[in-house]
Amino acid sequence: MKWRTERRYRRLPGRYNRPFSRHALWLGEDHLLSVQSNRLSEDYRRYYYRDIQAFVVQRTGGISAWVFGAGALTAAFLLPGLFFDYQNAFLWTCGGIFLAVTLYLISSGPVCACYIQTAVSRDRLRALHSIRVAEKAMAIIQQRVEQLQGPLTVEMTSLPPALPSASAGAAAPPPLPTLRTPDSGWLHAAFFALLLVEAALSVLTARGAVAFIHVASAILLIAQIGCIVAILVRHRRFEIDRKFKVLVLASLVVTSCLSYAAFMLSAFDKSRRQDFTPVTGFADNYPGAVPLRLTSAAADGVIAVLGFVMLAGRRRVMRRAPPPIAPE
Amino acid sequence: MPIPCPKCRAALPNYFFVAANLTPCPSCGAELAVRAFPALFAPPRQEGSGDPLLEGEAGCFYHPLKRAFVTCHLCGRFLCGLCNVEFKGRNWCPVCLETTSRKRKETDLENHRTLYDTLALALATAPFLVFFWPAAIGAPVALYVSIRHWNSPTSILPRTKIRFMLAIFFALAEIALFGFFIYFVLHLPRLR
Repeated sequence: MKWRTERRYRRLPGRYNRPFSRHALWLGEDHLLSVQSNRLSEDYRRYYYRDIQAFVVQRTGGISAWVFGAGALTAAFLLPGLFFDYQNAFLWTCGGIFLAVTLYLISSGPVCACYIQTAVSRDRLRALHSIRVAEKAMAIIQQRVEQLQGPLTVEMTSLPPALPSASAGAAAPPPLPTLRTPDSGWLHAAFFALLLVEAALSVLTARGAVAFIHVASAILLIAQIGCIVAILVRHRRFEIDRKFKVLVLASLVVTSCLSYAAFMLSAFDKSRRQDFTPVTGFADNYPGAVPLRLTSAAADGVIAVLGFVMLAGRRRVMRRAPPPIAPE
Repeated sequence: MPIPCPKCRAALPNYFFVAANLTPCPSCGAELAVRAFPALFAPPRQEGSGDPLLEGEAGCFYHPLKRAFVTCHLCGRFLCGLCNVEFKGRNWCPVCLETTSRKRKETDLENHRTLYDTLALALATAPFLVFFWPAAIGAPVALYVSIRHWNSPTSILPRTKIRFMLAIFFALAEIALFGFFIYFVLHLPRLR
């Protein structure tokens, strides 16, 4: 029985990890292996050292966007842990974990997009997402490439880069951004309608009608989460204005912040009353519940109305605009 | 092919190739660092188009009117410049290359692999941890996948069989747990 598979590759620094995707780079004998995995299968792409023309690193930001998310979660857990005397161990543990994640992300330095270019392709190497890691990995790859191609001289750089000859004309040109199909916006309309329903529900709750609030809130929450996931997927596949993305994101942030505030106020109230039943947020009656519900209703209503207005404007523009010309 | 800026797609000037640090793109201002290699400046390789056959010369197996100049290292067929594929320092005919790729005889030709060990481990653990009851189906399936694919190729990267072993362990433990549960349910009235 072979315990370990043959060791043909050496791992390079840099890894891009998401729940359902993972990118990594491995150094082979005569090629660089880019591995894209969905956890249950792997796709490979090989770049032979003799074919690699260049690496391009583009600085995309001073800090990873995830730092803000992780930082916000750290504050969300640590601040109540400091001021409230309720479920302290849980809050401190979660806050500590998110603090460690935030510090790790900050320490990884500026973020970048790294591209590899050959004569017929130009691909992004997602594994190299921070400048420090990209430099470390490229220094290793450079040694291998220069063993085959030799070092780059000043005379070479004074020449214009080689253009493909007529015989090589059949080779595929580097990929250009393709025109994506415009989004019809029906899912956004459904999402904004759900926001309106939520606003109405918040008003009803503020007025004291809480009999059906548990079931309705749960159904609405599931529908909203499903809608947001579907919208985020559609944002990648279809063309949609940036303002819609911002609006969906804003609604997500507003809902999260208000839910968080509701849970914290409820938890604080329960700890004051020595009540150790589970916190249910919007369904509980705690000081400040009514203003919070009204704020939630107003915020949801404003976002929903704004969304509908924007959708109507977009439809009007799309009706007037000529159909897009497909790229040759 | 010139190197374009990833942001604005304008061709980057040559001073980028010798710049050591991040340099702003003259067109859009995006901060870029380029590490270029001699392949960028080398003229494109001229692939053989297949010379016409002259009298007394051997013809290509696939193009009888073209002159053969190498043989396939696997099947020995004569090949012209059009049919010859150089791969890993050897000459291949397209049919042998395709067959080798299909039969997974050459790892360097594979571009996709299923990770059966991870799949087995996921089947053994995820249903149990998340929903519990589906583990009654997940555990036997995980056991089957582990045994069936014990010798199947998994990743081409260095990897041990620890996931298979863990999957078998968890699957057997879950099957035993469900077995005990069924036993107690069936014998509960008698035990009382």
